[in-house]
Amino acid sequence: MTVIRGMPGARAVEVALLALLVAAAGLGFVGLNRPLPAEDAVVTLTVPGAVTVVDARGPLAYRQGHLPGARHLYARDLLSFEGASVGGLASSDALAEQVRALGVAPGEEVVVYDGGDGWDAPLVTLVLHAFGVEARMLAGGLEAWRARGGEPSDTLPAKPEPSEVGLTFDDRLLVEAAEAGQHLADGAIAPLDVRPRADYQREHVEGAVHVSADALLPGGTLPRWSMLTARLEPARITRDTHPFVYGGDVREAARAYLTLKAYGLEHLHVYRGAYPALRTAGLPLSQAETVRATSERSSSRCWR
Amino acid sequence: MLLSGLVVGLAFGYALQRGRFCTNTAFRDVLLIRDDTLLRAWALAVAVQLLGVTALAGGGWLPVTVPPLWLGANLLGGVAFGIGMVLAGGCSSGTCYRVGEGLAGSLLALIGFGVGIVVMAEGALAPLQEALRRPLSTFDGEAPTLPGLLGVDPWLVVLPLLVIIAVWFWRSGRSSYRSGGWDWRAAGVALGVVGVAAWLASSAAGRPYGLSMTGPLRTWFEALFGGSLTLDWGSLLIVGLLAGSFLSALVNGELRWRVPKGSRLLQSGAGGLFMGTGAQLAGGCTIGHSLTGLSVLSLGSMVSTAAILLGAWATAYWLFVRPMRRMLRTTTAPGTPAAVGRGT
Repeated sequence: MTVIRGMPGARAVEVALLALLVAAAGLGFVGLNRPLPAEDAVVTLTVPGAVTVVDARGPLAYRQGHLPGARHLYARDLLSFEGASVGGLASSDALAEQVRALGVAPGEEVVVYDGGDGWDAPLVTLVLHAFGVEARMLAGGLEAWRARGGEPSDTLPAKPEPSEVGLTFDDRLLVEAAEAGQHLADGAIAPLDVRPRADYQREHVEGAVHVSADALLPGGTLPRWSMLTARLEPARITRDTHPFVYGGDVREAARAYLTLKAYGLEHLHVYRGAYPALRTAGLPLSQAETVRATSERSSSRCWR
Repeated sequence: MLLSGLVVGLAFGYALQRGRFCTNTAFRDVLLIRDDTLLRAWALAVAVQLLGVTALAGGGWLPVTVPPLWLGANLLGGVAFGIGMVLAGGCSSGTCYRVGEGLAGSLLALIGFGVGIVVMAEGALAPLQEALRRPLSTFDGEAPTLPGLLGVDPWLVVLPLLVIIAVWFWRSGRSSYRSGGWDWRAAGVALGVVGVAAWLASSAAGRPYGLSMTGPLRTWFEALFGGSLTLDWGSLLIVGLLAGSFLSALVNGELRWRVPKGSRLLQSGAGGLFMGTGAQLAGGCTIGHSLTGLSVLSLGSMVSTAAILLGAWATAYWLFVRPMRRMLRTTTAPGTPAAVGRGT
């Protein structure tokens, strides 16, 4: 029984179409699984000595072993523990003092790392970016560096000279609640909630779409392009979007920030506080019963 | 990667035309002539895609988005689409490939399809879409799938389904269906492979879904009605589909311009309108739901497909089976020549 019937000339057309189809599928597979461009925010390997390395872990962990020559800036020292600011960043002046004491300046190549879970290094990287220092995060942290044969050192480097260069704080990158409220009212920014989904469903800023920070920086490393597209496309986040990223606290938002930056988003705004302060600042919020409408708006354009 | 939409469309259109693949015919033939050949081709295409997409997604190599479950919209839209495709004489893909062959009725159905989409999306019926498109369940925020509903790994659903399909094929025996084109097995495999390729190529172009026609056709018809045209992967897919079916008809000597009677033309146009409104309401057609959506075991696609089947069978019964039975009763009633001839 003949399975494929056709005119003799059709065979060549069918072979050509099959070849083109396989090529399209192959290119698609390769394109989907390429790693994200890492040069903007995250590196996969560092070369100590060529760059200034910053350890973002706690002081005890740092003293026990760190990348050779690494300076130390504990991420927790950048946070506020006062009243309504708990979970958010310290004041801009306090942040500037920390960064100045680190001895880094704009234009200097800096790499930040933590233990590998991606909780401390993103925050330090974000703050350095806010002061114009183009820092990058070591994907996978100290664990990944060790896995590549790196030997930690417990020799403490000499205390660096405080940076004399003026550090200008970028208040478009790190925004306060009141400012965010104004921009949201103007429609200039699109709220992006990166907390766990259950928290988002319970309550979120009105109009916010959701992508969890854990999905954006799984295990402290960048996801593959395919997985990131799958997360961002249904939330309608593209390179032209001006997202306002907020999390349960600023550390959560910082994790999302790094991946979004690596994805190519240039107009990022990160909330410098913790979620409860957004509520007290009077931003319009959506409750659980309106999640349905939000998910309706955020459903993929494949079913518009 | 946008151009891959054109390539996939070419292959899709070619395979549709050579395989004579039309879900309307597949669903209708089961009822009218008790033949499940094309239904098997459809099932094989779904099975190939199901296997490929589950493997790729499970390996983390393919992002998968699942059509939402809008119960009211899926049911009503599916039934309307089923009615429409029987009236039009072809589903969305069948209509498109027949346009490539030169069938004027299908061209009118395609135009009706596009108009129906725009009317439901932005016209007089838009409030109905707004009212009915309510997600039934979020399943922790994700669109519901059968594995999600059962709380199991997708393979625990996929593998038994593939076994059931294989047993069905084995028990069906030899097919008597003859179309002059590809055998049902070649058509099913080809369409399944095109479907998997579509997932990969489309997702790499920023559209994490496979073959679909409703959204892409909407893009074209919105542009025709005065909007701006977005040349994206989907809109290039439609161009490729029409070109591919035309190419297939041309190289295989099956290209013929045919114009049916006036009443048939009107019926085709009306069928297209029903298809368009139904597909837009349900969020997909027999390609978007019954081929691609089923490959990710979407509950919304299962509901839509069942509703399409219901609408198609009800319409086919009303249009063909009921008149046929009435005619048979008339010709075999006592006193009629046929009855006398049979000695009744």
